[in-house]
Amino acid sequence: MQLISGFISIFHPLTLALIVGGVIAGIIFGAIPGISAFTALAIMMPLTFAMDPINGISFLIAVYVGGVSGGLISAILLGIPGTPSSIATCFDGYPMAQKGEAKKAMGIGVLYSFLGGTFSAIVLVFLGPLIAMVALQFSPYEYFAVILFALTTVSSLAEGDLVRGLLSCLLGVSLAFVGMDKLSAYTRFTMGINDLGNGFSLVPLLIGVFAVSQIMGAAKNRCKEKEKQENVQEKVEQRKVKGFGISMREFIDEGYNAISSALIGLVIGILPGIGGNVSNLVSYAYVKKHSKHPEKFGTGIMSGIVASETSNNAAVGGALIILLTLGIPGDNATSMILAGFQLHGLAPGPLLFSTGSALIYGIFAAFILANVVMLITEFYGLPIFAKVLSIRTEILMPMVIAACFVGSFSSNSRIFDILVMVIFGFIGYIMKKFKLPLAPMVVGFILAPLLEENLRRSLMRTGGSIMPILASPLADVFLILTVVMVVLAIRGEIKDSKKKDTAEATA
Amino acid sequence: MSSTRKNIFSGIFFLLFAAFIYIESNFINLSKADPIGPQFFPRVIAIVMAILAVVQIVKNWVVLKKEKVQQTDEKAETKKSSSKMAFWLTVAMLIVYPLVIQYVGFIILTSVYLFCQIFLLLPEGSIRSKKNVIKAAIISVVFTVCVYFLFTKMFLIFLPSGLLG
Repeated sequence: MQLISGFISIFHPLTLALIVGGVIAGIIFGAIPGISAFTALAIMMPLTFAMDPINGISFLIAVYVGGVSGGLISAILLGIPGTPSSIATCFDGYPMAQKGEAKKAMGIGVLYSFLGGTFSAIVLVFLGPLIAMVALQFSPYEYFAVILFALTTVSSLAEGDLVRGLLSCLLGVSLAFVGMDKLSAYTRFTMGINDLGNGFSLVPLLIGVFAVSQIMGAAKNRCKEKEKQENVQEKVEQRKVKGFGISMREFIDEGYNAISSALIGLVIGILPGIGGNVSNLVSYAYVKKHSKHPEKFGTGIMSGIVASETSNNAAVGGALIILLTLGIPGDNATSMILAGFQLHGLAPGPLLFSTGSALIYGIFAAFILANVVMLITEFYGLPIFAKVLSIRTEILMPMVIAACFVGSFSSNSRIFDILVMVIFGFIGYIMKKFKLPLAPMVVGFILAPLLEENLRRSLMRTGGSIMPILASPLADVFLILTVVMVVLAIRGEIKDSKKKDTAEATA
Repeated sequence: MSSTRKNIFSGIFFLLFAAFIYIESNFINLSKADPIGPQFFPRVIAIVMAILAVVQIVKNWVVLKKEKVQQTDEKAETKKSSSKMAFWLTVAMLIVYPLVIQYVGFIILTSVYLFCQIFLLLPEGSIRSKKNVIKAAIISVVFTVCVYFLFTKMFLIFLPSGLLG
């Protein structure tokens, strides 16, 4: 019922226009290699300042949905993933395009993106309120344990080893110390710089770490000679295909692949630290392993595209589940959406389900609608989106940074924030060089205040003793899961290093 | 620098950083009402960070010793054609931008930035072609002006106008 009122709340010409515009913008940015859904969100963020919360957040979610899906266009036409979410789409999509089946490949990609996204949206609608209801009962003990679990998961699942992941995460946590302490209202770690009194703002930090660091890397690796560009336009128009290019029979045959990929995507999306970037590869591997003819994978069969595109869009819904119900962002794109909430003075989490349920259901409706819009616009707009690929990234990237300047500045109208963005761009660049994963740092930064607040509230309640926390069964579950996560990560690393050793010994 | 050395280096950095957090936490004002206080959490984090940093250093130290024994020919690492100049110029421009924007203004500074940045990313020597220069100049100015008016007129976000204001 509430979902219907959610649909009614977004059934406003401006909101609908924003959703359509957001999806299209997302697809365009997603299609351009080097610009991910995150970058698209970063550029679009300042546009939401003047909007109502429901419009602004619906818009951002539409950009996110379009951005994740848009990567398939360049993956199929160029063999270069437009976003990391569509790496596995290249494996079979590009060979299909070379066989002259580009249009069919894209039709399938779009259709299954839609199915994966819609599946996760339905799960979000039903599971979200339930999780929020449970989370609403959380005392500081449980909340502390959940956040600790989330941080450990991010650190151990991110690229690189566990220690580096945890160190990045702690770096993020300690960056959040700067500014006012929430509980005692004293400032900490500001080094006497007045501008730091409120700490680092989230938007410039995010943009710096993920977008500005990228342009520094690009400047470093600029190529000496001009590279050849492929003619994309021809491929799209090569062969006329009816509908999405998939028959009913094929659709039924792909049913199992689609369902398992959607589930994989959903679960990976829920886990903090990994999202569409990982899910597309995992489900591609899974579908290939369980296929009757694994040898055909990589030669251009539709199952590969089904696996990749279903799961990366299913991960979007998964990531939104924990963002909306617990206020935990899993990756850079959802961190940006969290920043969007903060701009409107809202904090996603269980409380929002009770105090702002109209908004929450409006967001659900917008998410479902964004998937439908994505299906229609991406399919019919393919020839137009393909044109975007001929824009040179060397020209586009500086424009992105210029838009980032605006984005950082406008969140607080402070020039200081542009400097913060640049500094974090440099930090992000150095971290990449030293193979320190970025996602744990950012998630650590975002969750640190919650972690500290809940820990201190718990300890205040118990008078400094840890035992009462351990007496809460729900907190215990998450603490045990945290330990399990660490043990699994260490075991995995030991296995890997042994493999390496034996490989070296035999070599 | 090999990745093992890099790890040791970052380990040392985090160890120093942890020490810094711990020392700096002594300068936090304390309230008497709060028994756990604002010092507690940063110190816990500093200690955990220090332990992890030591693990990182030791772990990679062991690997490094192994590597030395094996005498791998690391010197033959293929050097990427990287351009240090473009990198440092980019960094310099990014730092100068926020420092001078208040005086120069958004439109002029951003146009200039875009123009320079485009040539720092395009292959070396592209600036010699007149066609490229004109194209980049047009893109830089038109894009900046569009962004400026989009934000200041449509979204009512004020941007520094500087010299033109």
